[in-house]
Amino acid sequence: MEDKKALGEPVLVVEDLQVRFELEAETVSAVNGISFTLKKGHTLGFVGETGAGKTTTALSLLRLVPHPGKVESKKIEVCGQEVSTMTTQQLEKYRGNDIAMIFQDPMTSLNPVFTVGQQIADTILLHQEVSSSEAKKKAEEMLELVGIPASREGEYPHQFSGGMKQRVVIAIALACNPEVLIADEPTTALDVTIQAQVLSMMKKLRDERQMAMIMITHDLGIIADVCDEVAVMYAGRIVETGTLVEVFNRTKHPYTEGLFNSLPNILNRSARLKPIPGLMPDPSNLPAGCSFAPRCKYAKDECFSAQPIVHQFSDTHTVACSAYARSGFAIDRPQKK
Amino acid sequence: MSSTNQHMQNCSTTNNQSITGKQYVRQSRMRIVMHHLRKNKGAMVGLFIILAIVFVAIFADVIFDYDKDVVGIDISRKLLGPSWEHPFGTDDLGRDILSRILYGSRFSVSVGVVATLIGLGIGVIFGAIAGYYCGIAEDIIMRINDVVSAVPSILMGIVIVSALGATTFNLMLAIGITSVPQFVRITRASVLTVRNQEYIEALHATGISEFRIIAFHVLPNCLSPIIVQATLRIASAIIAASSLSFLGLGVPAPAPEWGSMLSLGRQYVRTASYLTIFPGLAILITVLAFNLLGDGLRDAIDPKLKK
Amino acid sequence: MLRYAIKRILLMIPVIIGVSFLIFFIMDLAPGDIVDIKLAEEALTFEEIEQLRETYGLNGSVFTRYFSYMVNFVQGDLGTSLVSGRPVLDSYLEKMPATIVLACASIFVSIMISIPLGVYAAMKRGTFADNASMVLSFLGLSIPNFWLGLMLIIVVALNVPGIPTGGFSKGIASVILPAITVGTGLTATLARTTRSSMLDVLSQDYLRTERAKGHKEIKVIMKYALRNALIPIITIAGGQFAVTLGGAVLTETVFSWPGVGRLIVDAVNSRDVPMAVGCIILKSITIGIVVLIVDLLYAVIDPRIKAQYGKRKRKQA
Repeated sequence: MEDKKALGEPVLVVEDLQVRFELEAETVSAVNGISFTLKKGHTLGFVGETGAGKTTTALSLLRLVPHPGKVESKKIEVCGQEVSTMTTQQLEKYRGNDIAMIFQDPMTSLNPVFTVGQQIADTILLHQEVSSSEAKKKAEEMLELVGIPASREGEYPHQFSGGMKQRVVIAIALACNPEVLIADEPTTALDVTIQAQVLSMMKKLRDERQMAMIMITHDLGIIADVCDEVAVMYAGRIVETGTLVEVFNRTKHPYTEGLFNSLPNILNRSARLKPIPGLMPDPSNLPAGCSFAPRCKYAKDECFSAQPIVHQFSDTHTVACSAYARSGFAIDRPQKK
Repeated sequence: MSSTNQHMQNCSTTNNQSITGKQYVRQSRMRIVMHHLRKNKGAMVGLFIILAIVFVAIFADVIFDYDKDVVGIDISRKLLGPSWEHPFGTDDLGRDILSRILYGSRFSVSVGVVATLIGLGIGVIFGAIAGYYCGIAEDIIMRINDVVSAVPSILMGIVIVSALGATTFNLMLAIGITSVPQFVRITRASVLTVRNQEYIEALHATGISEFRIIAFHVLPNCLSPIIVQATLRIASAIIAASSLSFLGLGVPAPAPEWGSMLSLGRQYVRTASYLTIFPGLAILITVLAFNLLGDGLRDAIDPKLKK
Repeated sequence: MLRYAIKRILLMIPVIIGVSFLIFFIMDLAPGDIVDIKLAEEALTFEEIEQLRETYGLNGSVFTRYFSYMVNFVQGDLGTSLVSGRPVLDSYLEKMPATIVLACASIFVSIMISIPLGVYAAMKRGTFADNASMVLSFLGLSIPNFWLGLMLIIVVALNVPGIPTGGFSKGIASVILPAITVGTGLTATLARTTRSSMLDVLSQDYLRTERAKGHKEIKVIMKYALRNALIPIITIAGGQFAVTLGGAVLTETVFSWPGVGRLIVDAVNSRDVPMAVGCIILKSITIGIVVLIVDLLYAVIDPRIKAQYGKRKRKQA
């Protein structure tokens, strides 16, 4: 997009996004009406269990939800363009240029029969008016940027380690300097030490380029490390959203509390882990009331029958939980400053 | 002493359990396969055609008088075009093409099936030996296999039939031999995977003979790819048989083999094309039926492949 | 990679020896030899028969005859035809051009049809177009190709002026029908292979990466997916090409095509052992070399396979 936004202005606005997979026997409701805004230079973290709809949300931003997925929304606006009404040509210009995505598994995300240099140069050639030799030079620069010697440009993915591959995937995503970068569990498939390297590199590049970023993960540590804002997802809905401090220190939703309780505490190693009992509901057969109610220790009768009421705790901090309609309700997790 | 006894007892119970367990699995798997197969329209059409052809082949004697209708010469009605009396016309010796084609199903189906059984029998035995006993036996078998499969099968067929003489049995034998390498390869591959499974190792511990292990425990678990291959192989055996007969190296005249009928038709291509059209259609339909069934079986046995 | 190629060629030698012995041995089982065929044509005295047997090298056990044949073979002498008296190699090379033309034409026709068809079927999986093209390919698989040749003669050659019913004398026009005849079965096999191989590739994550870059769907399919799906396709195509290059026996017979296939059939029928054995050896060598070239092509298409060849090389060194 030509008119680059100033820092702090919204570059991504999503309202009431729904994604359903209509299969022969059943309809799987993967995403059920979520809304969020992302500002330039900010990082929004999506956290939740596997199957909460995080990746599907991300894919629908690129309109890459696989068949037979159906995407509906009031608004998906990226850099002032409505995504859902784009023509094929507009989509092709938009993908990779305005928005880019880093996929979960670097092992399978790279095409095995093209060199990494080709795969980076490819995006550049597609979106910028450059000759192929210039594109190749730029690809080499991108490799250097992500910490891979430019001389390895002519090598194939199978000659790289997992961490290196993920760096290449990142280089591809950043090649055209996108406004919005989606990182879908970029470090899940990597060793812990490599994870840290890749994350700090991503943070550095994000700050240099003032990108807006969506970080999808189930790892609260990564969220704390990278994100400014957090959205906690459960069964295709955002149950709690706020700034990092709000969600981490002034946790309100019982599910968020459950996530924190599932973490081992290094300061108190004798403490028992308190996992959330039960499993996420079947997305093809969601309960009528709050999806989390069956696993919630605070649940009352009304939680099972009606959708949760949304409570606004500050301009940024929103929680979808009916319990706060009861006066004096508080979760067990202590509130910090 | 008592501990050894107990040990033996344990073994025999595990053994029994594994056998009954396997039978149970196989039965239910059979049902699953049949269920998938029934849903596959192509396979059911193929099966229906095959049953019809087999029916005709069995009752050909009842329907026709072989000496009169099939090989009986009547020059007065030679080379008649299709009519009500002779729907597919008559050939140069005045024989009715329709009855010859229907009677000919006997040769095509029996050559296809017997040739495949020959190939299957030899191939499975050697494939199982090669897969089960690694080492010299495997090397020898696989090298011989390389040699046999290095000669294109149609040529191998030609050489064998012309050396042994053009009879129906030699035709079956020749086509059977050319299909051995494929069966060896498939059997060996699946025996190799089954052999390393833990339940086979467990059987060794019980002290049953190697032969019993191979015949009753390894091979039954390798059956599905072999069955699929055999069905598809019948189709190509029928084509091979008619090809060799077409070259004059098959079922001897005057028997109504479809390939040799085509060979005759070739001489009358300009004047009596119906001599060529109908026997060829008969081959096409029969082969198509076996291919459809084989393909359906493969999908039913291994639904993963259907993706 | 060169070492790999050389190793493969060396491995072909025992196979060729085996093939030659097998064919030699089977043909020896046949009752009657070339002299018996001559005997049927003209009356010969006992001495003349003995002398003929001697000159044709028909005396002695099958092993001694095979041994002397192979001694000559190693020195580059494939013997002479017992029928025409010409060197086997000359006859074979003389028939090669027609066979090469037919093989190239048929592989060209089938690749041009089958790959787009298979890709399209894979993209439209489960639709009418997919089912229709797969039914067609089933028909192509099941059609006996000599019958298809005859039908093409009846329907096309006898009705369209300029298309001959056989022979190799009328240039391109005479190649069309034989090429279609050989190409049909090949097209069917290739289309099915292309479809299933593409279906494997279409579900891969890296295509999502390509789409996320903003590539056109057609480019994603034809460049990034197809290249990954190519290995099984060229395996089948190469194998079939090799077999046709060794002589399409039936098609050559139907169209009176002056190629290697008919040469071999005629030799077998007339008990011309040196000719038959020589031709079959040459044919097996041709097939072996084409298959080797296809294997080497893998390395060009897929860098991972290239790396494997390299590894083997290192292990040997």
